[in-house]
Amino acid sequence: MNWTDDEIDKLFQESASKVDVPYKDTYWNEMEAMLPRKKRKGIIWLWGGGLSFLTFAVAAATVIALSPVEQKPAGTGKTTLHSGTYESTQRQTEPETGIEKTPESHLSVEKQSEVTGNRVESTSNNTVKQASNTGAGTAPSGIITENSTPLFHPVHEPEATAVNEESTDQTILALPLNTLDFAQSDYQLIPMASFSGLKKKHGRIYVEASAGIVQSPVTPGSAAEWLPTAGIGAGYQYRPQGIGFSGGIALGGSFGNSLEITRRSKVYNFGATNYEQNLRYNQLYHVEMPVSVDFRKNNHVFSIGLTPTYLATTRMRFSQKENEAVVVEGSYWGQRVGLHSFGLKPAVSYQLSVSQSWYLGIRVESQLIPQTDAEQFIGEPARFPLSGQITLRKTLKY
Amino acid sequence: MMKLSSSFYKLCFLLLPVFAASCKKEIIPPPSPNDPVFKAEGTFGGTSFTLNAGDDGALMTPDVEKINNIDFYKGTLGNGNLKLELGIFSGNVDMPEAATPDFSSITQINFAQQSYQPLITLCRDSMPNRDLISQVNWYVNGIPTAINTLKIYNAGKYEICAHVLFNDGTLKMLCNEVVAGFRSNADFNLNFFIGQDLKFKGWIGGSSNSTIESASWYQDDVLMNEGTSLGFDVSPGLHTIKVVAVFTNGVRKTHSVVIDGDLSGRYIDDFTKNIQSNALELDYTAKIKLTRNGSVYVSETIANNNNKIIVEEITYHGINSSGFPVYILKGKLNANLRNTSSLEVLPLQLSVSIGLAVK
Repeated sequence: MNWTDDEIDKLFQESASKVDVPYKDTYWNEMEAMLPRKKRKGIIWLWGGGLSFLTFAVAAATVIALSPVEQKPAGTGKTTLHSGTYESTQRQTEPETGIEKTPESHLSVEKQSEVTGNRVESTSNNTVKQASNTGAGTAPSGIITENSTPLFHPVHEPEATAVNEESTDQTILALPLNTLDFAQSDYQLIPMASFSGLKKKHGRIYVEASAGIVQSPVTPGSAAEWLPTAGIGAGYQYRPQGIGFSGGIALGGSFGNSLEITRRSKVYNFGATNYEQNLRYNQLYHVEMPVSVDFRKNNHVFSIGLTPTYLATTRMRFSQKENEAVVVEGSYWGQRVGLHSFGLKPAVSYQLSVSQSWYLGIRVESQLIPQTDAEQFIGEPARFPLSGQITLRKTLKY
Repeated sequence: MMKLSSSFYKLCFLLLPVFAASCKKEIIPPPSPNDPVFKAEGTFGGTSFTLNAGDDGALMTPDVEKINNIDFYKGTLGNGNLKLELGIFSGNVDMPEAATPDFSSITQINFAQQSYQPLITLCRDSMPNRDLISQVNWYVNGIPTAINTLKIYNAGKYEICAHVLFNDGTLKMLCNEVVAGFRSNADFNLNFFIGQDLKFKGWIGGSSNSTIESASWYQDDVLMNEGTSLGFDVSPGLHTIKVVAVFTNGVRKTHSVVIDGDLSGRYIDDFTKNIQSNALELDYTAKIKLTRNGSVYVSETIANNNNKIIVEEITYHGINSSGFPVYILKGKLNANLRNTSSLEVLPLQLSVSIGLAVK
């Protein structure tokens, strides 16, 4: 039987409007286990280290944000959707067929069977059964429903949770395949459903650049000193309408000369030697791991988050004098004299989606953990120094 | 190949922080500050003063000074306006191994005092054959110092040579080491006799605080014998007999005589036997010199018999620029100092931590 595209669409639409099939994680897991792994793109490898953290963060956020609803997170990767949903031993005896599930279409082909003599008993109207495949590769195995309304709904709507899943499981496991008389079946291909609205991926990898000012952790004079700052980063965001989240890793630098340490000592002996060291940090680089909860409404995204920071490296100007004579002078990398390595910054931000993949935003943060040993630096330590940044985010398909 | 190259760049990117950290240079913080190590605080002539090495241009300069061939372990603390010099004479000057004081046992130090009586007097008239001697020119450390009578007032160790002019015009020199003002730990007399048969007999005599371990006899700097006596046939002319004796306590002493092989009486006896010496002993005594605004005050020219340095502790400090070990003497003292010009005497009360260089 040949189907036209219009007919397939029509069937899908009709099917979707009539039947609601419960979603089960086990189905997906089984199917995914059968799927060949797709080679990851280079960018994922590149940011593998950061994403390992993200995976944890996203998983945690997922549990928190989505725990009331059993839902398969979208965007778990490209999959090849197989028509069969049964045990692997059964699939081994049957020709394994399927069609590629693309982001644009989750079209699946099923055999519609008019089971006449060996109708499978079911305890649920939503029971799914597997039929044999006799289509010699062109007619894939399908899903037969008791009421002859074959539907398979891999991605479900939230209301699907109302289905009695336990009974469905029992029915499937008890399915006697030999009771199916496929010879008497009238096979026809039925589109499963149109998932165009459901399979939209809200999860995206993003890259982000930021620039702004940050309050110096030490105030050398009477007024706070602001330092220019800039950063780049990447991460993962899940932003459907409503609540989402994002997390990533970034490298940020701040630049200035306000962090200065002068160390003096007078060492007596037969005379005295006056030592003076001057350490002036002019570049600080932090690795940051921002995690945020996002609220998206239309093109506006409001976020509140927390950013653990780690001082990756610094650049300082160093000089040492002995009895007023300069004996050492130069620039040094990686010094941490008087600095603390770890920090934690709460952040609020607003982003405007200026296009489908571009976000322009502003972010305000404050450092909760003192970043300097106040006794060593010249000036007063700043309590909870603020920073403000303009951000530009680009999401990437993967 | 492209894949390999891409992976390489990615790896470099990931390891960038590691590279940055590995290139970190170590910044060593400056040494910890400390309190002044060498200092003096007190009053001089009723005026209080403080000297800290390292403050106000003051420096501590430990040194070992030779005063008449005697080591004087001293330290100078001060600046251009005020300078304090305190030192200790070595002792046991005839025992080089024991010359440095045992600082661990020192609890107080007496002040050295200048003698107004000669410590040593040597004169032609004390020589046995003075009637055959026309004149004696005394040389001290190679410098002609006196004729016929030599008086030494300052303590020290001297090389004294007697240039003896006999009546017949013969000139002969005899040198001996003389220690004045310091304790002698062992000594001997060189005795000799020449018979008419020109048989020389020499022997070691005199009192001694220690036993002679060995003695070497030389005639005109040629070793003749090892032992406490020597006998040989004297050839005509004047000859110098020298004996070097080593005592069991480590003292090494040398005495010389001039003998006459012509039996005409032109001999020179060991003149150290005839030294008229007082009992002054300056071993391990101290001297102070204070310079204030160009005026110099010293302690040894005035009696400080009742004044002492009360030693709190003497500890090793380190090596000075001259390579001498330096000890820090901490103590208190009262002393009288006399101005070397005006002879004004001023009292000094001092609490001091001063560095003394020793050998």
